[in-house]
Formats: sequence, C-alpha cells, structure tokens
Amino acid sequence: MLDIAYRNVMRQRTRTALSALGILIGIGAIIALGSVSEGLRTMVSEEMSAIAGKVMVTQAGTGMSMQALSSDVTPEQLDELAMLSGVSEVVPIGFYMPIGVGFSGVSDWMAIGLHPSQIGTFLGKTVGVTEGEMLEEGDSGEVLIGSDVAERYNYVVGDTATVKETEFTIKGIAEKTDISDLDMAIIMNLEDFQDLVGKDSVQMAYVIPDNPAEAESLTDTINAEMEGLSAMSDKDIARTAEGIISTISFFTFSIGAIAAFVGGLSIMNTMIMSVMERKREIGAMKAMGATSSWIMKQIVTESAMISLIGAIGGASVGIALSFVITAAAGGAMKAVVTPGLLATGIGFAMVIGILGGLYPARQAVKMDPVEALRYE
Amino acid sequence: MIVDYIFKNIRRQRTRTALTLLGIVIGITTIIALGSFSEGITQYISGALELTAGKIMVTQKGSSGFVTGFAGSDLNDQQLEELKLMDGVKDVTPLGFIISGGGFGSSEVIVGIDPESGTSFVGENIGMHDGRELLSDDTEVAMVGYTKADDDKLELGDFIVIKEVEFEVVGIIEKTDNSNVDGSIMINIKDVQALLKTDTYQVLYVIPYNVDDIQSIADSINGEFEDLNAITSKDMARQAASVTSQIQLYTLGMGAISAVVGGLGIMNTMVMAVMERRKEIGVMKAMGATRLWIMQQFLAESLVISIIGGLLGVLLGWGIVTIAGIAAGGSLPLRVTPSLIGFGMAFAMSLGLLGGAYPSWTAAKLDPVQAISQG
Repeated sequence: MLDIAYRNVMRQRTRTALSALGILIGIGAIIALGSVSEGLRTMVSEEMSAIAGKVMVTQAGTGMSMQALSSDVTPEQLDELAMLSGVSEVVPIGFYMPIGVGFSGVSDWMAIGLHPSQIGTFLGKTVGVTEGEMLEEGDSGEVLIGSDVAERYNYVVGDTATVKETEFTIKGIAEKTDISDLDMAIIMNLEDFQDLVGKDSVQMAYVIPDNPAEAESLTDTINAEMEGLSAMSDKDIARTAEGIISTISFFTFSIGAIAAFVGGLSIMNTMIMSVMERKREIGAMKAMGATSSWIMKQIVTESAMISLIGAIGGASVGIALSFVITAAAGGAMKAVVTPGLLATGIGFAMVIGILGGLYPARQAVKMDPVEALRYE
Repeated sequence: MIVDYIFKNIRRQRTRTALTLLGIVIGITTIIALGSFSEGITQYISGALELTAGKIMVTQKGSSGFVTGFAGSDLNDQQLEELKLMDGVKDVTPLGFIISGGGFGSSEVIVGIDPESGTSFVGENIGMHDGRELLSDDTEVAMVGYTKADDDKLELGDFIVIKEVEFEVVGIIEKTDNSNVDGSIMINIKDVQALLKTDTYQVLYVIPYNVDDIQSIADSINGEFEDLNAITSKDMARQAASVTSQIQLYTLGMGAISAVVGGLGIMNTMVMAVMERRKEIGVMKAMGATRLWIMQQFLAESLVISIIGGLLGVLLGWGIVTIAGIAAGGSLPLRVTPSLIGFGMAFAMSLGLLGGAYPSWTAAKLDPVQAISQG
C-alpha cells in the first residue's frame, strides 16, 4: 500500500511539492518558535534551582521581578522574620537594575547587595572564582562580578566597575553558574549597597526554613502574621514562571499550527484533484473487488504521506533555525529543540494530513464504479 | 480580459476555490489579529510621548528607565532649583513613580506629581470629570483616570491601597483618549516620597518658554550637570520608534507565515486550473489569443481569489480583535488601523500575484498544437 501511495504522490510533483511546502512552513514555525519557549523553560528551571526550598519576601503590594525594585523591607522586619519559628536563616538582598533611560531595552547587568557570607545560601550552591578572590565580610569598595558581566565588559580583576556613579574595584570574577542572579550580577557588600542607594532597607529577603519541606507552610505563616510583607514560596514562583512559559509556548505553537492548518487545506485540495483525475482507476479497482475501506486507507495514506514529507522538511528547517536563533541571541538565550517538541510538530502534521485526506477519500468511496469507469 | 469569464472559471471548481479562499482568509486574519496588538502598543507609547511633547525629561545618569519606574534615579531639590534658573526654562516639575501589583504583567504605575507645577504633565487643557484636582497640601488622596475609575468601579470617596496605605479618591480626570492618563492613578509627589522613604525625585520635567529651544536646553543640561541625563521628547520618540518597529516586525512576520502558506495554496490551485484547461488554452491561442492575454487571464483569476480572501480576512480579523478587546475588558492594547488593513490587503494581493505568476507563465507558453492534441 505504501509503495502505491508513494507512486501516486510522485505522479504530480509540482502539486505535491507545493502542498508539502505549506506543511513544511507550518511545522518549521512550530519547531523554530517552540525551540525558543523550550529554551526559556530550560533557563528558568536552572534559575529555579537557586530558589529551591526558600521563601522570597518582599514588601506587600510590590510583587516579584521588576516590581521588587520599589519594594522596601526594613531592618526591623528582617529581625522579626529571623525570630519566626522554623526559620534557619534570613538573607537580606539589595537589588538594583539600571535600564537605559526612556524605552530602550533591559539592562545586561544588575547590582546585588548581600552579606558575603550568605552568597552560597543566596545561590543555593557554593561558587568559586575563576580569577581573583571571593568577596569577604567587611570588604568595602570592592565587588565580585558574574562571568557574563566580566565577558561583556572585558573586566579583569583590579579593574573599576561603576555603579550609580560610584566606582568599585573588582576583587573577583565568579565562575559561570547559569544562574543569572550571579552571572549577570555585580555583587557588593550589603553595607556598600545601602550607602549607594541611601536607604537602610533592602528590596527583598530570602527566608530559609530549617526544613526545606516547610517552605510552603512558612510562606503561609509570613503572609498571615507579618503585616506589610508578602511571601512567595519556591513553588509559588515556579508556578508563576511555568504559567508564563506555558502561555508563550501555546502562543508560538498556535502561530505555526495555523500555518500548518492552511497547509492542510492545500493538501485537501490536492487530494480532491487527485481523486477526480483517478476516477477511472478507482472505478476499476472497485470493479475488481477493492473494498471501501481499502480505497479509503489508500487515499488517506497518500495525504498523510505528503504531510509527512512536509513535516520532515519542516523539522529540519526548524532545527536549523533554532541554531540560527541561538547564534543571533549571542548567549542571551539558547533555543532548544526537545524530542517532545519534534513529536508534537510531526504528530500535528500527521493529524492534519489524515484529516485533509478524509473528505477526498469519502468522495472516492462514494463513487459508483460503473459511472466512474465511463468517466473521461 | 473578460470579467465574466474570470468569475465563471473561479466558480468551476467550487470546493477548490473555497478551500483556497479559506487559506487566504485564515492567513490575513492572523495578520490583522497579531498586527492589531502591535498597533495597540504603538498607540499606547505614542500616547505616553504626547505627555512629554515639548518637554525635556531629566533623570540621574545611569539610573533605570520607564519600565522599572526609574528606580535608582535620585534628583534633589537643589538640582530642581538649579534647573529652574537656567536660561529659557519656564518651569520644572518633579515626578515620582511607584510600581505596584501582584506579579508579572498585572502591575500598576502610580505617578506622583507636584500639584502646583505638575498639571502640565496631564496636559494644561484637561479638566476633571468629577471631583477636584490635587492640591499642594493634599496628603493620602488620589485622582484617577477615567477608564481606571470605570474599570475598578471607583467613585469619589472610595479608597485605593498603595503600598499598604489607603488613599481617598478625590478626583476623576475627564476622558482624554490617552490611555496613559485614562488608566492612571496620580498622587501628591510628597506621598510618593514618604512611601519610598526618600526626599528625592525620580524624574524632573523641564518645560522651556519656547519649544524651539528644547534641544539647546537639553544639550546645556547634559553639558553643565555631570550626573544628570536630559533627553528631549524627540529623543524619546526616536527610541520608541525603534522599539515599536521591532514589535511590528515580529507580529507581522509571525502573522505572515500562514498567509504565505495560503499563497502557496493559490499557486497550487492555479497550477491545477492551468492543467485542466490545457485544451481550452490551446484553442484560445489557435484563435489568436496573445501570450500576454492568457497570462493576464490567469493572473486576474488568482488576484480575484486573493482579493476576496483578503477582504474576508480583514473582516474576520477585525471581528476577532473586537471580541477579544471586549472580552479582555480594555486591558489588551488592540487596535485595527487603516494602515494595518492596507497592509493586510496589499499582502493578500501580492500573494495572489506571486502565486499566480508561475502558473500563468506556464499557461502562456503552452504550445497550442500540443495542448489541443494531448488535452
């Protein structure tokens, strides 16, 4: 059956190529755009490893991410957090991100104020330096910089980095961790940071429970008992991030899916024509005893085959494009084609191919063999 | 070209024409729907720019931008006074921003204005829909934009909570059709300073006596004040244009993907039409039809399909955008502009022309003798 289908598909090469090309574009778009959202997913899961088992606390009403910039958590509130039962440690974090004035893009670095002894707790793992030395408690006027910052600005140990018009000496360059809170950061002593912004409050704090499993209940306690503060558990944050990524990947999938659907219409057209041209042939097969289901299968196999050819082409184009995107992003992100994404793209194409073949196949089945044989 | 003949041919294969048409309709609908999003954002940004027209925005050098509420920009009273004393400067008004909200995307910008000089931020000729304007000794009161009041069912005397502090609504600004004003919450800059625990400002707007001096004043601010950054409304417009044109490129590009596939569908249909009508084409040629005439004939057919598809796609896209806008309750910036419709139609027609080009060329160069004898 497959070889007959193949021969039929190849009878009208232009037509087949045009129909397959439509599917190719659609599936190519699904995979190329999807690789971007998969890349984001990978990136976020790496970021999430830093916050696992922690509770993030900000001023109530200021939320997470960018909004945390106008959040203020006071020293008194930090003390109260530390005294809650089940709390092992509180990590106060000063956060500042410059952005080009006006509407221009997001900054490629940020300044973070920390107690140097808590850097490991902040990141969820111990990090070393590739050059220079780690920032120590009591260091002033000195900073530890992330690997991406060092690379982008060609910084070496001993250079001067300027943050908010103030100069800092680079004491060390941290190893690459794939956690942007370090790689894209200029980390300074919390005291230096507070001098810099002129406040004794911090933008947020991580609260570390004695037992990581209690992060959720500790979050509830903070939200209920601490007025003026808002807490999010690691799971809350992961859920929020997952929600955003799902929206993005649904959107990107839809764009490609719509195109593939339009391609499916073209396949249907091609198959309708093909059935019409082969009226006599189909009539002859019927007269010789071919069953309806055999004819049906034959036509649907053909349309699925056109779609599959397009899908394989589309997958190759999509994979190639994902490399182009990664290269064009210049390290800012990595587009990833996962097996699941490939399966979704090719599976979707097969569904479209089969659906596109059903109507023409039904027409073929309905034909009266006597009339079909007489047809010219 | 005979119009009757074109339509008769298109109607010959109804199913095929319908499927081809549907492809174009879907493609153009996608372009309109996605494009309306970028048009909406463009309009929102140009609304924001309207507020800055004829003014110079001054922030601290190296501080953050609009998106993060100018975090980290600290400007003091002394700098404000010094700017006021510059040649050609009529007035200087400070602004403060607080960004609040529950998470990504749902944030809200609260603008702190100086009631004495700050009305020019909203626009001098804009009055109140209800209640009163902010006064300079007001504290913990707010005025809100028209749509903000409408969306949140706010009336005079209601309270809104900003960073845990309750603010009484004392005024509702009249409808301006500028979503930056209509959706805003404005409070006294002193309240912003209290909430942010600072005595500085984030942005200073410098208003010149003469709008023509705007660039020279901005230049002298940048020259004379080492730690200030002054940009004019023109600079901002230029920055905004580069952002919006990028958004436009992405949305229209993604919308165009399915339209291109629809164009392939036209090509496919026309290839089949030419094949079916080989005999007919042969006869026409034998009777003296020129290559040009035949080519025009087939191009006209594919163009008609694409124009009908384009029109239906524009209508359907418009409908979807309108419904989505209503469903989202005004929180999505969607807008169908004449230029977007023009783009959609032009794109559909170019698909028709490009898709029809190859098949009509094959038709035109058919050898009449062969075409008639082989059928």
